Amino acid sequence: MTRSNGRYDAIIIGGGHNGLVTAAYLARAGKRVVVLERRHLVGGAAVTEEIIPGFKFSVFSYVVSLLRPEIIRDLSLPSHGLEILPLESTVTPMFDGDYLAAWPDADETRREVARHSLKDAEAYEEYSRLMGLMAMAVKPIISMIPPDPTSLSPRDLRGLLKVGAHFQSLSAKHFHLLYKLMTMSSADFLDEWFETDVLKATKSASGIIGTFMGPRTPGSAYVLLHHYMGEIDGAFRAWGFARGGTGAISESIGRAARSFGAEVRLEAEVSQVRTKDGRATGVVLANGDELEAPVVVSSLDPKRTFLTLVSESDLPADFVGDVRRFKIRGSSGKVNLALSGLPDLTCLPGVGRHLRGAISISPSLEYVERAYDDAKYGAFSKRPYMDIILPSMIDPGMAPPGKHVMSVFVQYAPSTITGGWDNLKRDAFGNAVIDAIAQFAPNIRDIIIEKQVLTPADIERITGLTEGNIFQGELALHQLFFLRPSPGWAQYRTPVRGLWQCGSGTHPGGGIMGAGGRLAALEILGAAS
Amino acid sequence: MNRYDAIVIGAGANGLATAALLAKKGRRILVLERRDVAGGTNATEEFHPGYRASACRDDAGWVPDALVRRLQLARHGLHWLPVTAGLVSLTADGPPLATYPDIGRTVDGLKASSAADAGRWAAFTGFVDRAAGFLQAAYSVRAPRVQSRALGDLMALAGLGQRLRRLGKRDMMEVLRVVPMPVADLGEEWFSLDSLRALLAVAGTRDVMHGPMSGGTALVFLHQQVGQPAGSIGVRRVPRGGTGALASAFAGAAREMGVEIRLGADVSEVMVAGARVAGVRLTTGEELGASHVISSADPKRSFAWIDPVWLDPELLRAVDNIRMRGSTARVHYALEALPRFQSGGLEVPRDALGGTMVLAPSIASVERAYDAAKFGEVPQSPALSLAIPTLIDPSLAPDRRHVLSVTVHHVPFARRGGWDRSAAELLGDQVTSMVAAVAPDLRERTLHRWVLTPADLESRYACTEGNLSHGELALDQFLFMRPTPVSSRYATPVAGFWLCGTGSHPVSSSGAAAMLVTRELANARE
Repeated sequence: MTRSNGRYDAIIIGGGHNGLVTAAYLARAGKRVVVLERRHLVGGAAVTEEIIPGFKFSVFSYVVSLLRPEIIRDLSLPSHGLEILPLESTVTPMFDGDYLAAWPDADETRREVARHSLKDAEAYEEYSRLMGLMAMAVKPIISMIPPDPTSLSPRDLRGLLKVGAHFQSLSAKHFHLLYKLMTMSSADFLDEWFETDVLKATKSASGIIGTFMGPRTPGSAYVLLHHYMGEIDGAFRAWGFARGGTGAISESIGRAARSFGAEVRLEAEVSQVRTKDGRATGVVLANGDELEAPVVVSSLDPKRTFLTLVSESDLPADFVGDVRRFKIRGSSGKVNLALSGLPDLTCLPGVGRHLRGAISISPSLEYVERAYDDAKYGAFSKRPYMDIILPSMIDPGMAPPGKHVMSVFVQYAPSTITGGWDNLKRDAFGNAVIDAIAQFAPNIRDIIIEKQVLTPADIERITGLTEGNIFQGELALHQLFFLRPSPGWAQYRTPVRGLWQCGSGTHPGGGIMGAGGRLAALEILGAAS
Repeated sequence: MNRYDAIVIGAGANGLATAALLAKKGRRILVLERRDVAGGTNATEEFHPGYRASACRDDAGWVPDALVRRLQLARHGLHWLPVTAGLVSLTADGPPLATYPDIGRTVDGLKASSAADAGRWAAFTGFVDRAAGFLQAAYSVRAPRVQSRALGDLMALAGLGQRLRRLGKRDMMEVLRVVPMPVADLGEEWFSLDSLRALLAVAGTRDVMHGPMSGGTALVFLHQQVGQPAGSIGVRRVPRGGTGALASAFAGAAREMGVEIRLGADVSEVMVAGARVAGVRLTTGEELGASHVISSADPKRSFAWIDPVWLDPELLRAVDNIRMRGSTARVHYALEALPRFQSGGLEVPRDALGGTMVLAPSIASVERAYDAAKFGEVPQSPALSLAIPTLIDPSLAPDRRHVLSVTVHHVPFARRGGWDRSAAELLGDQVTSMVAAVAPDLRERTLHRWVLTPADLESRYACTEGNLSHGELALDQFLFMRPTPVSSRYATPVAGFWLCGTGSHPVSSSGAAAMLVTRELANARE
């Protein structure tokens, strides 16, 4: 491949999973594409790195559930090395020494819930069935380009009618349930179903991941659904772990893109999008090199794209205002541990299958809500919510024999911490996390070989994600669909002709989903034809 | 043969307005009121000899013009009084920050504190007017049915869509974006002054168990702006004689049309025969027959009057799930003279005293109050809204004497340990010391204090959990979801049993549902 000095059809800024997906689809359609990645490896927030020799960490994003099956198929990702290993269970340790578990076998889970509440065990089945249906009901919305409700163009009107017809096709009961999911808090929504506090706490936790909301904040029920969507379709088991860590997902997409002829340049940081007469003409790299192309696609978040790469004079003032007020609130941190052995849970002592699943530190709704309350006023949670997995239990290749890696997703760690993040605060945050784990696994301190503590500021510094927000923008109702990332610019276009956006900041949002990357590519190809 | 065509339960503004409109169409109507006074949550009550207060709320709310005309409410004594100011922020260290019905006046006042905020005020009120105007259009028709394929429903939806489009591309998007937002974000997007943002935060969390950082609270704020004249933010709508005068005007209109109003008549059951309403039974055992029963009580109370065998378990579950977590307390003071109010050491000007004075220094202070309330604790520093109705309407107290009414926000009905008199007086003491911080001579001027906790509001005014909105205003309890999807157009699955209260669309305690209910009733008869 010696095209590096020639002209490209499209330049993709950022080699995260969305940028790579866009590149792969464009290259597959015959376009000459180059991906420019600032770091020395592709993946963005979906990377595997050997921070401590012998121990491989999925440094940031750590599980996969949302990756669109059509992308896996279209890009033949399994043939490029993607292998998803199932993550089958969730165990929530409780303060009284008991626990709540969800196992892969539905009957076993029902019996487990029944141990806490017979009523909830009955509701559980119906709840799971309806949530599955709800996830199916939003699927067509996830896979469509959001129509502009203010536009009278035939295309937008058709899109609106399609949305309308879709909602009309649902039964009244399902429509109202979906409406509730879109608008309620996850705690209120779950209150309507269950009485067991620890069950509600653990379920509601998936409604807060990546957001600056608590279980009682309206809008969090939608995020619950967002995370539920992965659990339904495709040949793959839904919640899973990629063999080799999440970096393996990005690498498989990167290989697919290359196989279609795309070029991926590492350590190529873009400093500016070049424009002429209101049109994008290419990019300038940090080292001064310039690349030209009629199509430039940014997979960066909207603030980074429009407030740092594009000159403000190329953008309408209203639009700049909209981008500034777009809420990208970092709320989570990550702690990666290299362990000499396995954690010993007080509630489930010893080694067991529960260590091959997730361990959720969400003993009660109040615990999680209070964790949020700390963050609202600019402090990290003294007693945080955590989602823990042991990747080496699923893929032994992640750690040396007999040793383990532990991935701890932590909420809340506000990017807006009072006084800003520094080394002292990072240490204190790391200690709070270990203390909170030790409450349920007292041997944790004895088995830690080394730890990597990542605050939102670290996530931003390393990945470039504004405020370290894993979704490139809060998944709140007023920032979804035709409002994402900003009113009037939800169709992957931007006010600069030839400049496109394809990141998680676009519809339908974050997670290792790839939907934005795919829809952007289809839209670009549609505009070109 | 029944003596009445319809029985209306509850003599609050909604019940009386519905009764009056039906009687005007020639129906024989009986209104049953549990208490010995009419008015419901709008009652003006004498709480100390010679001192009267609007017990539950200071703002009578939006009364649709068409309703005022149809029932000739002015002739029945409804007289709106001019209110000199809107929301006024009082803090320990800042000067009083007042908003007035007049935009220019507000801007001049804001300039001293923030030129930037002063510069945005006119544009902000403009946006709020347009957004509230759209809500008003939605409130003037029955709740839309998004899923219906019926021509009428599609036309109505198209009509609302058209009304939204008329705002123009930018504002249309803004309305759609802002409605589900947290009011804290709305405040932060427009203004830099903490105290100004807090004014919006307090309005946006009224009667809901949410803090200003919760999504949907921008809707709660905009909802209260419906019917406000251009440029007016949070200006109380005050009839002469307090909020009770609104109910009295409806009662006067109703009586003139021949409506019979029975006080002290407590309903114990709505009788059903053959899946159809047959009438009501009172706690005295007396039975009254009617083919229609229309309840202005809250939905939980209303459906509890029906034998559950007539109701679908799904509906019962939906009713049970309606959130009506009471979060408001009221404290009224009978004052022998007007205390001196100050903010940051500066005296509050006389015309600002006529507005609603808000004690909440910042969004965070309001959110912290909610943090306590959601766990069942009374907040240490709840946000307070103060009104001195006697400055506008001297008839409410003896000559030169005054009434101070305080709304205490984020006081949980579900207080850990429950409510009793000592907990109520503890709350009263807390409020007194908070108010005394801005009105140091309050204690000397006080002749009497009347505390109404959420539990008192529940027992006295029969609203479940003391929730004055009969169901919190939230996106999932709005329009076609209110109070439940199957009863969102006032009819219920029990033929002849109707709802007309605040728990129904459009969340009005001032009769706005009445015209919609009577229209639905008329359609049902045809």
